[in-house]
Amino acid sequence: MDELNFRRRIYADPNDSASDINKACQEDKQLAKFRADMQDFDKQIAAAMEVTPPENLSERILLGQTIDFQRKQKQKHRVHLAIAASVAFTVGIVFQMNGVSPRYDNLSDHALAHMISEVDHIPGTATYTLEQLNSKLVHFGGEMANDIAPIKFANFCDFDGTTSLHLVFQGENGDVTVFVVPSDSGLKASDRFSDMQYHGQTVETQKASMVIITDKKQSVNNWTEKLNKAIKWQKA
Amino acid sequence: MGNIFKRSQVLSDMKAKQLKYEALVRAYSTDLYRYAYWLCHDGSIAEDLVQETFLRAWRSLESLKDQNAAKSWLITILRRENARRFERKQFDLVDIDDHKVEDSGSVGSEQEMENHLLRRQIGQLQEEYREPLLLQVIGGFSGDEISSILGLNRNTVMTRLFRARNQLKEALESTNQFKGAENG
Repeated sequence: MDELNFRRRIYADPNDSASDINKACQEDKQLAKFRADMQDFDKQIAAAMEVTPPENLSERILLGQTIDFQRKQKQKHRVHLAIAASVAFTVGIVFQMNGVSPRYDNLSDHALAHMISEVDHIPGTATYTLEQLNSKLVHFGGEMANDIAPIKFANFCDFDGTTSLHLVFQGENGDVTVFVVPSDSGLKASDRFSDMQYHGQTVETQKASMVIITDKKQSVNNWTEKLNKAIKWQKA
Repeated sequence: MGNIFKRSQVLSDMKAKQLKYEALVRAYSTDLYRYAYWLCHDGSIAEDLVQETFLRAWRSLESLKDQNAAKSWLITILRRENARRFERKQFDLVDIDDHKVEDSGSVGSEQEMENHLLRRQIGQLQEEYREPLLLQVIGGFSGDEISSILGLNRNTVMTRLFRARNQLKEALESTNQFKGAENG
């Protein structure tokens, strides 16, 4: 190996310990010294390059990663929520468009559906007083003069977007459900209606429709009569 | 049961990933910082670069199959981040003297002087010479490894390394000569 080539290789890599380099060093002390000098010089370069990193650099990096990870998790969570919400929304729209969702433009159908869905929430015992019932019935222009049966439930409810009154009386042969729905609800009333289990009747008053539902074992007519007698409706 | 097992599997995978990552950070953050510092000549930019490098490393840790390649993998990410920085904005170069550099403590004043001069010269090296030198001295990479990191052929890398050291040596010698002439 000629000297120039040797020097070039040592300049490029002072720690080059290839066999031809080692051999050249053994044969020529000058070359060996040159390599040792260059190795010292390289240590100097290494020392010069030793910049002190900021304190706790590793910890700061790890902290940055933790924060980033948590932020990503949150974003992921949010994305999942957003996807779930948009799926639910789409399903809702599709059902609405296809008419799968129960929507009634008919007062009696709605009353039946509402009653059935609320059956489980009606208390077993009758604890409501006539006063409590009247305090609510007055909003629909009615007043019940006397008790016709124990009152199990007397509360406002949402009747397809219209605030209505939901009453449940305890009859001798089972419960009687009465809805008082303002006349402006937009729902069409049908005089008589029924399904497999229940039947009902609608009575129009000045300000409201009164929907009376009993199961088929009872006479809905009797109840309608009782209610008509007991409730005084305001004249318009 | 299956779910519980799966969940604990996921958790232990996460833990393993975290441990692997922490080991990488502790092993290489100092070298990466030094490398970044000599690329950008600014301590705080260097730290940002290192932070960003390790964040990216975390996100794609699965792609690091060979532990032994971790260092060059990180350097490659860091170089990409640095290039991105230049795409965003061309920073003004900061004078190397404005920034603290490691004080080796026990070195005598003459050696300190030389150290100072060397740092200056390293800072003034052209980037194409400086980068292979950084990879060799800080990174401990071989000529082949450097050529694959920089995407250059090995001969080019060795030539640049030769020139880098040659320039440093000449600069140092000429300063020493100048100093000698002054003293003499």
